[in-house]
Amino acid sequence: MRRKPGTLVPLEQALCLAAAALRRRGLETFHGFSIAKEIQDAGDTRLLTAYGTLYRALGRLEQMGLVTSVWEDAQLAADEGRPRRRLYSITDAGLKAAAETRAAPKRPARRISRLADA
Amino acid sequence: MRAQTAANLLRWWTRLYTVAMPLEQRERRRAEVESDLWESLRDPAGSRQILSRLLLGVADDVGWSITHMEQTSRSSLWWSVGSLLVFVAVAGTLIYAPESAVMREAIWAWPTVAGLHVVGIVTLISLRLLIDLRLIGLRWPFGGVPMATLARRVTPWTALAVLLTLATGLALYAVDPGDLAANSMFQIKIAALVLALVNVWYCHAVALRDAAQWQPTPAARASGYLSLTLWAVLIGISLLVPYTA
Repeated sequence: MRRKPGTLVPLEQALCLAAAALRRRGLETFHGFSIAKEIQDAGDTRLLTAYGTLYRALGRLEQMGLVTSVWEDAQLAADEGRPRRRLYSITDAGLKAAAETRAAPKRPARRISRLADA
Repeated sequence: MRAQTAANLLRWWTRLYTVAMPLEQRERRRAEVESDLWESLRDPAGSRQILSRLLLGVADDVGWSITHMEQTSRSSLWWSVGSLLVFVAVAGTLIYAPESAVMREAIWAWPTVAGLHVVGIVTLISLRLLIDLRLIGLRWPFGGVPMATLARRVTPWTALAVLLTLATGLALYAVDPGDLAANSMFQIKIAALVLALVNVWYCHAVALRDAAQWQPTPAARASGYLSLTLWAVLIGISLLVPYTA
């Protein structure tokens, strides 16, 4: 999708809104699968966001400074018997982008409008 | 499809599209997908959707891969695709080329094309010589120029010389394709040419892939010696072709 300078594509908006919704519920960090579930649960889509699409979009958001990421402690993951998670958190700029998306009069997709109301 | 089978397919695909990535990015993407997969397999909806999430994201995976591919890997990819297209085009022309009325009847055509063919060959072999001598370990000529710089400067002109030589060679072939195709010396010449061009591809796509830290490895030396031999054979056989027609 061709993007206008300074704007977010619908998936990026959805990710910002979902991350902001998680933050409001007290979850400071999220990983790829949890944000995909959040978007699915809040929207009317039956499918989780595709792997390639999700991680490419998260990479773009990180480059734009809307989210940051760190790898969790390897020992913690080993203690729980699972692979290490890459933990993302939404930045102030990301929260602002989510607020602007919520306030925008025209919302590009239903799943985004539901997330905005969450 | 069972979730575990879909998971293995996803792992295989992730390994494939990240293979040309810089090491750190490759490991990060693989670890992130593995983590997501672990969560997916423990979630009823997630485990059912592994295959669809894989398939729907393939275009983004490929786009991401090309964007972040190492410069050297991207260069190798273009060399490989370009070489393959040239081989297909030349093979198709050799097999299906009709006789050319212009090449047979126009008084200027044969001398002009033959002259350009010689210019192409001389340019190509001269430029290859610079790289081949360096490949076999000689730091002469231009001994002070690093291999990466030498390869970067020589490569575009080599590609042009290859195209000029092939285009004019095919035009000369169109003078009498039937007789030439049956000529045993011409067949040996084409076989040597194919080997030489495969060797050029190997040199640029594999041996010089990391030209900045290039060292004369045994494989690179072998490529250099093979190249020198093949071009010498090609020149000798090309001179014999008219006498065996």
